[in-house]
Amino acid sequence: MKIEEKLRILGDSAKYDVSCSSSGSSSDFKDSKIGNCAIGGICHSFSSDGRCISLLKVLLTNYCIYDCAYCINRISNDTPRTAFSPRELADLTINFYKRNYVEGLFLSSGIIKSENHTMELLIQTLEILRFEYGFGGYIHLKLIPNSDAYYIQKATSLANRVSSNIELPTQKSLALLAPQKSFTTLLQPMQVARNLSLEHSHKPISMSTQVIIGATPESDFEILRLSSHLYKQSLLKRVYFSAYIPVNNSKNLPSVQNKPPLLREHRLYQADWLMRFYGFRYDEIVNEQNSFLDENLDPKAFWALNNLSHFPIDINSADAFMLLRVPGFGKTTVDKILKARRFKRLGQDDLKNMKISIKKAKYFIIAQKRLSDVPLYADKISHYLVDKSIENAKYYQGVLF
Amino acid sequence: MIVFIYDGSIVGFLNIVYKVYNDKIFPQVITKTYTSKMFDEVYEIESDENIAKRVYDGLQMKFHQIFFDKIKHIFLCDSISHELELLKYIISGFKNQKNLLDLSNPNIYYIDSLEKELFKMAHKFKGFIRFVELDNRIMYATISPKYNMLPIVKNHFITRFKKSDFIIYDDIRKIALCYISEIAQILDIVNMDIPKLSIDESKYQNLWKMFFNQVSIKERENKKLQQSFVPLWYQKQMLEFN
Repeated sequence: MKIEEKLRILGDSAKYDVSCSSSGSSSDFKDSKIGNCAIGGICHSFSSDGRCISLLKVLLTNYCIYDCAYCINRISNDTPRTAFSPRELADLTINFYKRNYVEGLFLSSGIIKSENHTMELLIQTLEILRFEYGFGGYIHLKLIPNSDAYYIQKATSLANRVSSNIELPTQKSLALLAPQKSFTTLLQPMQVARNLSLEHSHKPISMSTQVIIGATPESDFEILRLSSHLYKQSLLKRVYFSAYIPVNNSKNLPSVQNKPPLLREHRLYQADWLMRFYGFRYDEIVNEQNSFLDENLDPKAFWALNNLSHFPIDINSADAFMLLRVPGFGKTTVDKILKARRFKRLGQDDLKNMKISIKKAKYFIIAQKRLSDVPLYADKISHYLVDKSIENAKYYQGVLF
Repeated sequence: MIVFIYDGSIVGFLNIVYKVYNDKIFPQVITKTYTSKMFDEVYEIESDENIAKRVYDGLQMKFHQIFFDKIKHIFLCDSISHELELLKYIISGFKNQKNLLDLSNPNIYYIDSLEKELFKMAHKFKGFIRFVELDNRIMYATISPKYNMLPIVKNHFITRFKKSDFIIYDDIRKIALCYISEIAQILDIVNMDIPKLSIDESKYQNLWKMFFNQVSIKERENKKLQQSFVPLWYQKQMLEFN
């Protein structure tokens, strides 16, 4: 098979992996001949679905001995199968890298013959890149669950980041859709990798995982509790969410006709950000009674409306922690306010001069005076905060009929 | 109106700063091209190297490194007329440097965000520049950026390419960043003749285009989002969009 054909098939199967960031990792491969890792991460292009392309994201092979119901490469699917040789893949990576198409390689694989055999092929690819071509760029490797610690150790020494996808948030769903996998076998390679990397340096190797949203009936509460738990153990840097896109027909899965739950995925990411950067706990965002995020409101606005006793907040005296909790204010906005208020008491005009949007925030803050005359009642404010596109849709319908 | 005319160079601008302090005149307009109007009080500013050097040293001595670098970066934004704002910025800095942190002052905010725009653009260029491999193994790229990018992206590409050679040619300013045998220079080049491409070039270009097209998930198609990340203006020089 020609290399074009291979890239088409193996890139196609890998594209459902959401992780693409090359950020947050600096290169440890100092005597390399070509390549570095930019700490901020660099996006090299954006595909027509608006996702960034920063890595050559491919599978080594789509042969697989597993039969996971949600996966396009399950053994019982009749799809064309192929495999890269480690040399072909290394050549492709280095040539894409030289032309500034990508920041590095994101390598995953179906399981060919056995777990250990697959790991061996993956490691061969990485060795050609690192030792023969002197490649110092970014490499993210998906660890194969159930492979020996020996291979995991080798992989962690060659890659910048390793990960293993949990895919489904509970053991029950796994048993239903991916009978050959279990929670412990999925987390095991990451635990091994972390302990191994801690033996060599004080900084553990950075890892991420991915959870499929909407294939099984778990609530947002369960999903966020799981990711918060993984962050707290400092096992993971990042949990990705992937709205389920039906690729197979199965009685245990939503129908192929269903639209992927993109808005829910978006709200989950917003909630994830609140946990990682804004000092929120997962149980502040959702709880067992309200176990799903509100689709009309972003999670922070939702929290604010349920905790109006903290508001209004005076932007001239509140601390950074509280400012970050104002709906519509992000990190940069808060930084600007903290810097500028050293010089004077800020009013509405000052916010305007600094190009700070108060569209959402105006209901919740005081800048010398209250900026909006809407009284502080949840139902009154939420009327203004609900996404206008939803409102507009209703309006147009009214006109048509 | 008081009008200052200068040649658009850094040297010329530093002479303006000197004139403002020496003759105590503050311009209302600073321009490179001027058509005469009635009642205008026009001053032609010469580009005196010695005066420029004195002002430059003065700035370096008086200003904190962060602000001094900022002033230098603003010079790279050469396609818009920022001179008057920059002059105001320098004057308030000479009065009291602490003022330069006050973001609620529109002048300070303008300069800060102009620098940010420059950095943002440079960051995009780090990802969006496309190289081709030449016959002699040198990697080559052409760019037409709005601002002068090369001094800003220089270090990034040197650490990226390490032991390989590359050339980035800015076809608007007619300058090129050449990194050959681990020595980097920015040279004036009026006419760039590109030698033949290597034999593998078209193969990898096709592979990349193919990869770019199939990596998109059609259930999630969102062209508007794509364009907000890669404005059309960048797309012109990106292989996969042509």
